[in-house]
Amino acid sequence: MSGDQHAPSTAPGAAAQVADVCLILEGTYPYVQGGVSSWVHQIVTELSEVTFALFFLGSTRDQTTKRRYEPPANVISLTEVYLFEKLPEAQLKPRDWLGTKRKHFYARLRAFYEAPTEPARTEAWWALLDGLDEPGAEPTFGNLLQDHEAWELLTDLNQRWAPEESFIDFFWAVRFLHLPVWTALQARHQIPRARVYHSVSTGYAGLLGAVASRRWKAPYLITEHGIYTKERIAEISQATWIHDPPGRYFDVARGLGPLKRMWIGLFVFLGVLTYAAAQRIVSLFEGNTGLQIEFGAEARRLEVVPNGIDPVKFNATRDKRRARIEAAGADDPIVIGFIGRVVPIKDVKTLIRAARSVVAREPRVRFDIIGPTEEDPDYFAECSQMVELMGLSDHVIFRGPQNVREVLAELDLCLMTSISEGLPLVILEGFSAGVPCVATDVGACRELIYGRTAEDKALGRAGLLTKICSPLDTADALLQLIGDRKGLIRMGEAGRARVERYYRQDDIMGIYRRYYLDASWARPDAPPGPYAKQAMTAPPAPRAPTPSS
Amino acid sequence: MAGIGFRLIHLLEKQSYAGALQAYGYAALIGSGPWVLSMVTLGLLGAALRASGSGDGLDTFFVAVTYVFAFSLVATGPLQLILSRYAADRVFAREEHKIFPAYLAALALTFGVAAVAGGVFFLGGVEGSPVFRFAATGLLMAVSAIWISTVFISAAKDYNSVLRCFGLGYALSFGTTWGGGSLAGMDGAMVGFTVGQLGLALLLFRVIFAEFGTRSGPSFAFLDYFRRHKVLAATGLIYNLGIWIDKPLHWWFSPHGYAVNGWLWASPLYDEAVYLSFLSVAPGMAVFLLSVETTFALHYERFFRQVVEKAKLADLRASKQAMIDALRDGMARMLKFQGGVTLLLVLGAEPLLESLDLGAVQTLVFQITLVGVFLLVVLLALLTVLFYLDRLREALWACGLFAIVNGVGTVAGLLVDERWYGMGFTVGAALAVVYAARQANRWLDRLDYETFTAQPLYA
Repeated sequence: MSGDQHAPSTAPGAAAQVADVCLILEGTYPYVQGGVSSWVHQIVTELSEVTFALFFLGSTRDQTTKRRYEPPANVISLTEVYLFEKLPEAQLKPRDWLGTKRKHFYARLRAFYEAPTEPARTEAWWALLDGLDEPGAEPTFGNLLQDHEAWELLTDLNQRWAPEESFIDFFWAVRFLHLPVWTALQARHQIPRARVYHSVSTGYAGLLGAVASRRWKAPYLITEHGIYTKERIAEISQATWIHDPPGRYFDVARGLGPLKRMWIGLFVFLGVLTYAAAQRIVSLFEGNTGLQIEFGAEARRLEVVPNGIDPVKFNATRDKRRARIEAAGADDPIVIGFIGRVVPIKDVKTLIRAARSVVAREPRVRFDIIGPTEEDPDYFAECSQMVELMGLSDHVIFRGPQNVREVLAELDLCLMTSISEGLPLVILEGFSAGVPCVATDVGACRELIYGRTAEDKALGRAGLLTKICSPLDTADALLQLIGDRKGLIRMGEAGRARVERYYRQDDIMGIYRRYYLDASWARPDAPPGPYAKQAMTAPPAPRAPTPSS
Repeated sequence: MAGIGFRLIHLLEKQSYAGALQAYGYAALIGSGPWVLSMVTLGLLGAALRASGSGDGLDTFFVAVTYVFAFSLVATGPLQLILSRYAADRVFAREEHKIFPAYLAALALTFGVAAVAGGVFFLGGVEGSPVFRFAATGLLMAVSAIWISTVFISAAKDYNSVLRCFGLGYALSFGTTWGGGSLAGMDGAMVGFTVGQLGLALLLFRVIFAEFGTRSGPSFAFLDYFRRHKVLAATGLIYNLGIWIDKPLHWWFSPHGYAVNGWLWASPLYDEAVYLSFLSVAPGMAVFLLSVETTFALHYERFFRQVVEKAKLADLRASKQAMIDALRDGMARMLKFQGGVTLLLVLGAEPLLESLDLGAVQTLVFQITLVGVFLLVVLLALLTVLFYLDRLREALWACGLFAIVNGVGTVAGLLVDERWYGMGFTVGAALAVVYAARQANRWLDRLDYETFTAQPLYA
């Protein structure tokens, strides 16, 4: 384990200062590029009056890794911990410990594993952890590897959870399942002090957020972009490195092997623990709140805070686009833009198939595919070949990466055919420029295009939703929209209005500023969140637009 | 999306269970080989010489052979265990080609040490013809070479040719000794015996060459094992010391001991009775010991095969229990059958020894040491188990206990009177058996724990 404390800011000794917020980041900012990271960067940059301590959890230290973002000066420290790094020798050697502390530790450990319910397990967990913090009561990982009590517990659990399973695989699964958790727990001593703890996922980051907020009695907030527990379950189900008895395929009746269930159990537990510890649980869009409840979150703590954007920056684009459309003649092409990477999850092939039907009916239409093509060269090659075979070379054009703000002026309509999405920024960008969108009904698309609350819906539709992997449905939606030029303009305006009303960066930043600087939300008597009494099918109570403090 | 995912596959792939599967070739060796041979040879030679009614001249020969066996066994003890470990590791690492060079180097080393030690002792401290003294030195070299060879023989696994070798070698040895003795007395017997043992050494060399022979010269790489496996080397020394320590104590400090010839001392009152005890029970029990070991080894191998072949815990535990049961059964049978034989011999000792022209004191020593030899064989079975379980330290303690109690008890017996002769040996063996049995039980019981927890976290 490691904990380089280097302050990106110039002030020496800044790390000793108590930060307003400690952001706990698992595998993201500032080392990994992506949606979550740009969101973090946006927050630390925009909220320049808030001081941040960053706590980065990585897998293994890699000297070649470069920072993808330069944190601004209000980030006063960056602590890095690597969970899959080799344990230090001192942790591998068992500590010679006897007596009541050892007895208590193993009794608590056993109580934790043998807890009958998740809430009981959470309680047993904190009893275990509080016990560790007593002086002289903390074993090393070597103790867990070699103490007889640990062996007894391990074999008992084997009989309980996986009596028919290959024991050697069970044994190693138990070792490797606990190793990163142990490393994470060791890192609890390195978490900087802060007034508010904010983790950007459950999992190991959530674990540390929960531990830190308990230790420093500070409010704890989590924001989930994707649903970590669900992602891990998908990953584990398909993993080939976890031993499943031969011939066992995934089938609903028999389910996964016990070792995979153990791994899933770990992440489900980390989720439950995080959700129970956080006073506020934020997701980007409403579709995810149901999953959070399913994975153990209490409804009254839930809140939805979407991604934000500054629509004013798109004013010039919007004006340029409007001028172009007004001047357009009857023979001018109608441009449908796809903005995104050319990869299977974006399902570009459905777009191409839909394009054939659309072009057959309306030859003026052109599909511009804007975004990098090199991430999955095979997939790109297949797509190019399809375009050629279908004789669409003049109608489907791969333009590579472009400046989105400029290219939006050329588009009449945005199209998204993804199989899976979170809250796609590109839709917000399109709306800001007045471009309506046809998108598959995944992630936050429904909320973005049709509106979330009654008030939101009243702004009107900003496009159409389609079924996933359905070229026919996609083509129908596109033809319907391009046949109605007035409707198209109206939808663009609805999109812009929606962004201005609900997705303004200033407003979103205002919500987080309030979270950070006024922690009344974490008080026991704080009013419950908007989903408190909610059956997940009913629409949530409208949330007042928040003034930027 | 956030999350670091898994890097575990990487870690998992690096794991190996190499350590778990390493069975040790030296288990069988320490249990039977050299000491049975030496004791049986001494018993047979003594009986033969006594029966032939040869005069005092042959006493020097007999005592010289005893010294050669005692010294060579104690001196090569550490080397034997180190070499068998080295050979087992080479076989495991698929480096069989390194075995023969190690054998050559060990022979060279042994020859050198034996030549110097034998030369100093027999040329410097024993009266008699140069022929006798040089032949005795040669005998020390030949016998040491035989002990070293038995290490590699047991790795060769060609039991038929091994048995043929020993049968042929011993027939030759007794023939040449007999012939030499009749022709030229003490000198002839010594030359004859030396020639016979050299013949045996050559036969063994041939078998080993056929199995492991390479063109490369000697390699002393195995010497590093003395540094890496100190406990093993110490066990080899202490174990042989334990078996022998009572004899020189009797030679030098018993009122019945005397200088036969120069530095060669003897105490026939004690020696003859003890060698007879060994002769009477050891061979049969050694065979039994081997069968216990073989059964145990089968179960032991099965346990580890199951571990790597992904057996469930219940099966592993059943396997472990079967191993314990097999050992208990073997022990029980050994106690019943060989215990019975020992009891019969103890009861019939008087007429038996009378017929051999031995007296009442020797009968008592014979009775006491019969029990001692019986216990020694049990101890060997338990040591074998400890070796399998890789509990070298416990094996060393058991040997140490035996050696110390044997030494101290022998001195104490000498200070009291003849009724206590042999008691040190027997009580030492008994205490060592109790200790080794407890340890074997304990470590067998936690075999599954040890097997798994001993696996390093990072390969």
